Amino acid sequence: MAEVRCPMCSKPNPENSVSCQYCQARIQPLTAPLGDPIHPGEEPTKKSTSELEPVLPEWLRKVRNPEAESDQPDASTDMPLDRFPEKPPSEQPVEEEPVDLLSRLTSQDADDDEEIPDWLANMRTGSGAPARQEPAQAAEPQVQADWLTDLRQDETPAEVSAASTPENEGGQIGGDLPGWLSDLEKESRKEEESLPWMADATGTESEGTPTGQAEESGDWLADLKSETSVPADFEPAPPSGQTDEIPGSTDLPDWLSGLTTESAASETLAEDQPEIAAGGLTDWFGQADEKAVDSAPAPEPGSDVDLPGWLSNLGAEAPGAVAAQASADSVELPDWFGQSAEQPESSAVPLQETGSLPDWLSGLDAESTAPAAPADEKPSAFDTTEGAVPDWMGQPAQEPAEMAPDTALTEDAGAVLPDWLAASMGEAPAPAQPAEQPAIPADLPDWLAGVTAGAAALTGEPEQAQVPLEPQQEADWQASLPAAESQPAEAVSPFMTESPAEVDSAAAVFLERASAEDVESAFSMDMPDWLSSVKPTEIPQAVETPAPVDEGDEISPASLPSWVQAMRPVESAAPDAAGAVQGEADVLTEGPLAGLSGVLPAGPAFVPGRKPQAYALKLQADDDQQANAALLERIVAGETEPVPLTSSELVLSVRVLRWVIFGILLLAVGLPLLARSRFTPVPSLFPDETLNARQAVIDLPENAAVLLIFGYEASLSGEMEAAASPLVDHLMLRGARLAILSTLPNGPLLAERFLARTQAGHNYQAGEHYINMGYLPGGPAGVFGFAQWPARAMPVLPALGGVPGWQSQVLQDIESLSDFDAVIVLTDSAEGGQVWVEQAGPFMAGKPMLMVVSAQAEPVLRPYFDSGQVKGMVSGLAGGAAYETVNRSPGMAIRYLDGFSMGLFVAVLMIVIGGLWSLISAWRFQRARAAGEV
Amino acid sequence: MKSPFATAIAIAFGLLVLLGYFVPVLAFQLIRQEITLWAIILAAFAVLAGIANLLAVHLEKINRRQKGYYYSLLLVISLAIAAIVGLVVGPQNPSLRRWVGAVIIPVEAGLMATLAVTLVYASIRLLRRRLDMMTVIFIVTAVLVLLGLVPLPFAEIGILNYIIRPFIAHVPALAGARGLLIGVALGTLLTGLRILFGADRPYGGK
Repeated sequence: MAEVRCPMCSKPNPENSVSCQYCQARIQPLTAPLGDPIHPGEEPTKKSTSELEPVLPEWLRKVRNPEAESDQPDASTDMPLDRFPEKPPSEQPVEEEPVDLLSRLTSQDADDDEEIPDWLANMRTGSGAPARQEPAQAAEPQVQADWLTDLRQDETPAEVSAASTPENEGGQIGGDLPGWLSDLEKESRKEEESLPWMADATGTESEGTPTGQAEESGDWLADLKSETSVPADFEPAPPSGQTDEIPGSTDLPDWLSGLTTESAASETLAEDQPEIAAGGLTDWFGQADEKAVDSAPAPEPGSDVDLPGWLSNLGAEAPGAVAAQASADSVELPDWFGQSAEQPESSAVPLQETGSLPDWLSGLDAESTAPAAPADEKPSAFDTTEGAVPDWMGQPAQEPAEMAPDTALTEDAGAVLPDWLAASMGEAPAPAQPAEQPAIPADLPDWLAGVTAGAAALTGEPEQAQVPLEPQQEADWQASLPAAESQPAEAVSPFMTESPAEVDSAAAVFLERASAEDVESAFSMDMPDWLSSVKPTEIPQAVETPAPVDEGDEISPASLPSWVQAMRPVESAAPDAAGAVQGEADVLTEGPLAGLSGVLPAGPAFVPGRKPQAYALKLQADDDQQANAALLERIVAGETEPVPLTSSELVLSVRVLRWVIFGILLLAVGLPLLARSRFTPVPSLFPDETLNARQAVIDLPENAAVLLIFGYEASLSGEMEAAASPLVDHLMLRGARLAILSTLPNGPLLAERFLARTQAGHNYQAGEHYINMGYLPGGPAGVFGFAQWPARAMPVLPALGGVPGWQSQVLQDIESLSDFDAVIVLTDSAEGGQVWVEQAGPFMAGKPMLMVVSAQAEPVLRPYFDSGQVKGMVSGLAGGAAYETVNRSPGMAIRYLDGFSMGLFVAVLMIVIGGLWSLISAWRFQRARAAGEV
Repeated sequence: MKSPFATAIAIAFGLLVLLGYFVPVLAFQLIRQEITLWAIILAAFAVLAGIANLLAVHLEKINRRQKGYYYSLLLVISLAIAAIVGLVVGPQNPSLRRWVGAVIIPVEAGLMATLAVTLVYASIRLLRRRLDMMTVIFIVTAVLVLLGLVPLPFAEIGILNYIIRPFIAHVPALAGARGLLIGVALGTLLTGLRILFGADRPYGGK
């Protein structure tokens, strides 16, 4: 058997049931199906409803007609209810076309955002800008709603006292309404008579409802109320397969369905509801009041009768909805509301923001708190807690006593005005409440405060309700309206507590869960046109409640018209939490950009902190530094200045003179050699060194091993050979074995030449009488090495006759330098003789060291002779000649003596003559220069 | 700055040689001897390196056709012939010695003879170019030493040969020579210390 689930309680009902068997809610719509449901993100179908302009309420017409709204004060835009008495709906012509009160809202939204009120703008964008909602909290008292001002003027003390009397609250509900509510009631009657949707709502509900009160406030609000009462553990609606069984008309709220019905349908409905037509608003209003009184556990006065039925039921039915939820666990509600009720995050929202809710939305708020109440505390479907009953209905007797400590003005207001109105004046702060009765802001209407308090008591979280609330100066019900779609399932009503940002956050969560749980079909069936425009992409993921801002530091944007607020970009309204808090902290307080945040500050980063220090241009340097700098400057300047080339005095090239000198010397040396004459006398006196050298040779033993060092160059070979030949000849005469070693590369060659030219008569044989060991490299190191270990310094010696050098007759008994009987150094340089004296002298072991040196090296090496390191010395050709003379063996030295003497004499003569001539020439030159001739 | 490795080696070997001199320990003496023998080998290779460098320089001149490159070409050819003949017949070959002696000794002796002419000419021109007391002293000293070196032709001037010239050779010249030797010794000592301390790096460092 097919079943149809009640959209209110979600319980199964027979397919053809018109009303729910459990909650008496209407199941079958009164209008024909609207067609395909509208899904989120889709644009609703535009409908021409301009003809319905006159039937709209004033506040709706103001929304639709921003031009007219712009002429009104700003406060009027926030208080739409005060315009109800001005234009009775009955005066407006009723058209036969389908009623679509909100269709133009979406069209206007598409056309111009300036004309969209805040609450609608927030709903469309899905994100309430924190900055836009803050003014509602920080609004000044003078921004009181006009409708409240009107209320003060209209109410009389008698009416107020009567309305606040407990006895009258029970029996005279509906009869002691304030004037503005009476007018409102009249207007409501007229509207019911003229508006089919109102008539349908009231008539239909009263017809099938046992209690006849909860449903009288209008189906759309009743649905909204019941939907927000879904418990937290509510399971999503079954898939679309099940929802397809529900007629399409039930997918939309009744009020919206009524809007879409045609005029004929409205006439039919009017005929079907005779009670409503007859009784008007009086009946439903009285029923609402009675229900509130009956359901209140405490005798609290209820002023619910002062409101239209559709408004008063919102506040009065909150406990009833709770009880209904508690008694029916399997209530099936539209998923999108059920999901919103599951959001636990909203439970931590403070209460101070609830004051911005209008009265009629406060009832919604109270309803949303109902699901959090435990089921065992609400046995009856329409039982209400004391907190759920509006204070202005149930607490008139208590409020004056509680407010007594406050000012006299408050007392007077409590006595004259209704409690909720007195509380709305904001003069008296909320008195301390018991633990189960949280503190309620004083500026809230009493009935709203009562609802809030009762809701808090039901949730069992008094600590949240005890949060001190800031006085609410403005009843911005429009701004808080979007929060109706994102009510949490527990704690204080989100309608009252959530900030717009939280509302957006809750909406985002709600949309996410709705999509995640595949409840799109159920979501779409109850989606009105204006709500269908809410796109999930426009909803921020996480928005935190902005930090409260001090009133004195802010320029309240509440005074801004709604179209200015609507101009604010959506992106700026959905920042992350940190950015929002930071931006508020950086709000400028002065200047043309006051009130804006995130502006680059002209801070110290751009302004120099202090005046730059002035530095003197004068160089601070002492005298030394300046002197050094001047010196460096001169040096650098001297490098760059061109230096004039000094013209050298022209020296006459006396090539002829050179040739003359050469010729004279050649003749002087050559002629004696060619003439073989002996005109130079032999020296009669012999130098000591020569005599010591001869004696050293004489002292050598027979067949002595003598190390003969050839250390002269070929250029001086003539002198050296003449000087050394008598000594070597003497050695050979003595039969000495000669070990010839050279410290110059040409030494071995000169040694062979020497022996061949001067000592050929001795017939010395290589390897037998002498051995040419060759060249000893290394300079002093080589001499030192040879002196300490001759065999290792000269390991390889030429083999003569197949016999190795060190095993020859000359060197067979030589292992060290001291094994030589004498060391004779033939050198033409002082360095050569010095090395041998210094490096080999310590290894001589007393053996004599003799030297044959050139005449040029003799002055330098003579000190070694004088010191005894050198036993004897033959110096130059003169020394050789002396040695030959002493040895009586004329030889080469004496033979060269005529040519050598003649050459020296001629050379000295030329030097002297030439020197004199040069001296005279110089003197003449200087004389001529002095005379100015040159 | 060059690698400190070379400096460390130089200092270490210098200290070892010094220890071999001043510390009467056989090990140090043996180390000193060994290091000294290494120096002989290295010096021999230095001669070969010098010959190779000489050859490279003159080959470069020949390749670039620089001025007087034919002298370089003659040098390279002579070097090659002497080296090849010496390697073939050996350094003790009499013919090779004669050929070498016939070239080297006249050349170098001729250069020395030229020096004699040049010195005479310079001494003549010295008084013209630079007439001062030191020049006069220099000239006079040179004349006296030359005149006293050997007996003059046809006569022996004893005061020159046995008084003036020996005095000049044994007093002022010896004084100067000793001073020069002492200076050289001190300079050598200081150079050795600087090398040991790493201040001077004749092995390539700066």
